Amino acid sequence: MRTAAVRAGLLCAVVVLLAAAGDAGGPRLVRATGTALIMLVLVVGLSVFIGTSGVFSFGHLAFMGVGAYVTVIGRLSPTQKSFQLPHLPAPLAGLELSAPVAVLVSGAVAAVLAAVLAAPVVRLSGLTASLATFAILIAANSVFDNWETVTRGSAGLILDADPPGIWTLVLWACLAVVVATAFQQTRTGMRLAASREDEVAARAVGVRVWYERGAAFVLSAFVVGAAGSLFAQYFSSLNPDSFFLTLTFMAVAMLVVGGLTTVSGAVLGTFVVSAALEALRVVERGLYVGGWKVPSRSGLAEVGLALVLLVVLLLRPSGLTGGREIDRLLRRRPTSRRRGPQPEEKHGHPARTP
Amino acid sequence: MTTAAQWVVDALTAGSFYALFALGIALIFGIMQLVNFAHGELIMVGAYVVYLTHAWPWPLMLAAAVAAVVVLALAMERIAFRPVRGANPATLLITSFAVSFLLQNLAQMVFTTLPKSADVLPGLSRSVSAGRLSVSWLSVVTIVTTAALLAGLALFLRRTRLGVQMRAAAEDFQMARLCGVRSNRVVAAAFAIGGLLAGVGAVLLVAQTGGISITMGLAPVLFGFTAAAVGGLGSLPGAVAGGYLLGAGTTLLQYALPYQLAGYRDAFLFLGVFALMSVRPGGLLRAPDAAVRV
Repeated sequence: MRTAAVRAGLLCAVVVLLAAAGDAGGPRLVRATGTALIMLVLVVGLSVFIGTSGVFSFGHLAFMGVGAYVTVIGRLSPTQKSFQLPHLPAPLAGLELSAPVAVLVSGAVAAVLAAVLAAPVVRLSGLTASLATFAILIAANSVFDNWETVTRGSAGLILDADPPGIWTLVLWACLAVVVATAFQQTRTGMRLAASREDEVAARAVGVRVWYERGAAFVLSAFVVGAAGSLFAQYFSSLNPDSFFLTLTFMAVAMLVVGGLTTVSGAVLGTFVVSAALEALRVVERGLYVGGWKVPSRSGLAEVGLALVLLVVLLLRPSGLTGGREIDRLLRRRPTSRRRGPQPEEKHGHPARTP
Repeated sequence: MTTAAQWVVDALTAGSFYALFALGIALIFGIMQLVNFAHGELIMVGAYVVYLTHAWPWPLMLAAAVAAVVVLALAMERIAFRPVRGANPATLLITSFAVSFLLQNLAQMVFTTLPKSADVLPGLSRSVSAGRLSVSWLSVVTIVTTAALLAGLALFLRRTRLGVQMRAAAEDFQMARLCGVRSNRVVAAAFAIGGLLAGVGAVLLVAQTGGISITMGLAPVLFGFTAAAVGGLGSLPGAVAGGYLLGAGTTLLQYALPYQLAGYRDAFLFLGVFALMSVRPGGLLRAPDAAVRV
């Protein structure tokens, strides 16, 4: 538990420092910092399941969407509600939640949904699980798009409450980091990590795998649902396509760039990719370099992000942190580390952790 | 009776598309365990080539689209997928995700997000009617072309040296290499054939919908994946069967769902797929108990 405390403390310090730096900048930078902090909650939430279990899920954005819609329905003022969602069932129409309660309720609803869907997912492994979660994402998108009584379909919803400030977001981000780091150190988290490294061996020593995966799936859906709630509150508007492939891609890119298996990787990846994206957005709008105008091109930022992700995948598949947590990274590097392929790859055995 | 016949034709048309897309994905998956998300972008690029060349005579247009897509597929393999070959399936999947995102946004930079339209093979929009059943020529062409391509591919895989090597590599990549199969050649062949199928699919798709946009590859690739996964990932007959099954499923939902629920077609379809995968994780044509027992 001490390791977890040190690790979480260090990571929260990093989050606070970077947020303070961002908060000192202009309105654009503040906005970018807020976005990055929400992405941080999302990516840390993803890492609880993907990082610990090694099973890739593309369906978590569905839980983020659920969290976001729950928050809008819970936080929308009665007048706006009768205007935007006139056919809402009575108990929901009268609902008025405070901001922090909305975050927790959103997480809880997402977690309940995840618990229902977990039963099939945890029995699958590898690619089949990834494709099944993909099916969840598409089904959810179709529901958000069509369930007009609750989601107002593709027109989307606009929330009329005050958005949270940077420091509220920092608080939630730190909470997410603490939850994720603590989970890794629990009995369940460690057993799940063992099943990630070698599923057969883990089963042989008595890890049930389905139980551990299910627990991680539900917990991670909770965190991701909370991220959805923060997303809705911060941007004050959402539509079904907010929670589809583009955001999935961003989140996956952040996770992979930082390093899949660690919470530190999730934190580092989020900030590095957010900073890179922000820089690319500046170029995208067009700028002058020494009197020569770089023309504005929409899509440039995304092209840059895809290239960054490809380069990381090709050159450093275990991510920037190389699979080490922040407390290990800060210590001296182990001297036995050599260049060249990992030992597993020599035997033609696919490495378990990318 | 007429409704049933109409349903069969619609199901076969949709199924032909899904089978074409699923086959391209399954072929590559079987050999290198890569779920190629960027397959949709091959279709998208093929469609833009059709847009650029739609004034040409149709054989030239078809040749241009197929050639461009095959070249792109080979380039994709050489540049992005060869360096990560042998990594675990999740890494490969993310790589293909990145390639897809890259191509889509490059296309956005060149063609902007505004959808384009092209009227390809206008003669095919006429329909033949038999009794009260009416079938568009396009459906006939789609069904026949797909059947011909499937037969051609089956012959290629059974009768030619390269085809047999590809099947061997799909069975056991290491073993095939030890027996002298050149891995680069088989993988490139798989991508080239996948590209060919995607190119033809793109032309047919544009002929059917008339619209071209940078996100148009998404639906084909999703349905292709799903069909391949339903049939059993990596199994080629499975992919084809999955494609036609999915075609039958979507058409059935389209006919059977009441008006208010029609929008939820994909939700029902993918929940069905999700349920099927949880009951038979290996797909329909795979042994249900292929998992390692402990």
